[in-house]
Amino acid sequence: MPPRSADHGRRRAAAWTAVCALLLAAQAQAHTGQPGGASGFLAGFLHPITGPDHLLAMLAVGMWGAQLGMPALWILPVAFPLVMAVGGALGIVGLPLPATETAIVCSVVLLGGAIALDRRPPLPLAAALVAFFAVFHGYAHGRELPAYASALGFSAGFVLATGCIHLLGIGIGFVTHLPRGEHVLRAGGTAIALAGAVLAWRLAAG
Amino acid sequence: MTPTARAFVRAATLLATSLLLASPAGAHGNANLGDLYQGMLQPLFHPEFLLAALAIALWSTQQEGRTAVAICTGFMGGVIVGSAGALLGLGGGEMPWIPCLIMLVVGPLVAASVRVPAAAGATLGVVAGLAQGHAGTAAEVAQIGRPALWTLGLGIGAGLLGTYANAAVQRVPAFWMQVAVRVLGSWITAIGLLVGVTAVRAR
Repeated sequence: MPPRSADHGRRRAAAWTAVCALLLAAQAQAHTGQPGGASGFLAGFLHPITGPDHLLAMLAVGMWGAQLGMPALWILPVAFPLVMAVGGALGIVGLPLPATETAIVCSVVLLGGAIALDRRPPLPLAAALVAFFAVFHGYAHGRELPAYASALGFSAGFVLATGCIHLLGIGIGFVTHLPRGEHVLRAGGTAIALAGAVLAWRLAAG
Repeated sequence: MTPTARAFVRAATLLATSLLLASPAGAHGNANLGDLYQGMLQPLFHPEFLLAALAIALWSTQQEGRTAVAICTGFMGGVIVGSAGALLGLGGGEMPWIPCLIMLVVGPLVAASVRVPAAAGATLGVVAGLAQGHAGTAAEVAQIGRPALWTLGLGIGAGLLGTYANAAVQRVPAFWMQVAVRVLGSWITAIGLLVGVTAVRAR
């Protein structure tokens, strides 16, 4: 067995940090919606984090980007907030977008499934798929945005939180640099897809 | 490190040192410099202006040396002239949508890492600075006691942000830093779009 380098150790430490952060984040899954009095940055920041559907889908985006490698690794986190903001604008304006919750749950299942099955479509197709789902996630955020006092604070909060979840997903995706890391990542994708299936079942049950 | 990067790092170090030295010297003195500091700190109390100025600063970090300097100085000069114009009553009243417009125009340039010649960069920097300086001052004009100090402070604040952004980004020439700047550009664009649409809908 070859000696392990310092670089290898750093990667392992980063991967464990990411996994621990994921486990801690899993405890915050109520997504009760923000109370009417809450406003501003904190409410916006908590919105994607406290919703398991948003959290899992955006984690999956980061993990899938890491699995696909360059340039998807950085294109997806750059493109996602832009498209999500367009969806958010649709929600603020009040344009109808049918089956929003269904599409969001589907995004969890499909993105998790793509990681689990190690699907590597061409970059434009992957970007289009992620952008399609980003519209629905943004729309769900945008629907709640006008009720808050500070539009700037709420927008900055949820855009920042979304970016942080992507970064966390990318960090988890770096587990592929470890021995058998690809299997671990695919197992993570399987877990996300299964969680998405549970969310779909709950949604269908009403 | 390139000569431009070295220049930005030296300028940032010099500014930080001078600020540290100035603190004990100015402690509790009554120099009536409140408007200077209010001007410098204006973006901190109005985050939309901070994001717009940050977009310009980040865009300058993606350019060649001359263009980066042209954008920063153009923006700083534009802010000073725009602020003076607002104080003189030129160019109309409050325009709260200006920062959103700057975010929506410059944010995508940062996200796409668009590089331009120095003249084009300076032009956009000046135009954005004029708008930012005018809008920032017009919103506060009733509370400004010493207009010249306020305008100077606003300009210094814009210059500091550009200098520190360039020093920070060019000090770390790693690939991930370039990606981080582009990600910030996309975030600023997204925030600008959401805030802009919310403001339009509120009307």
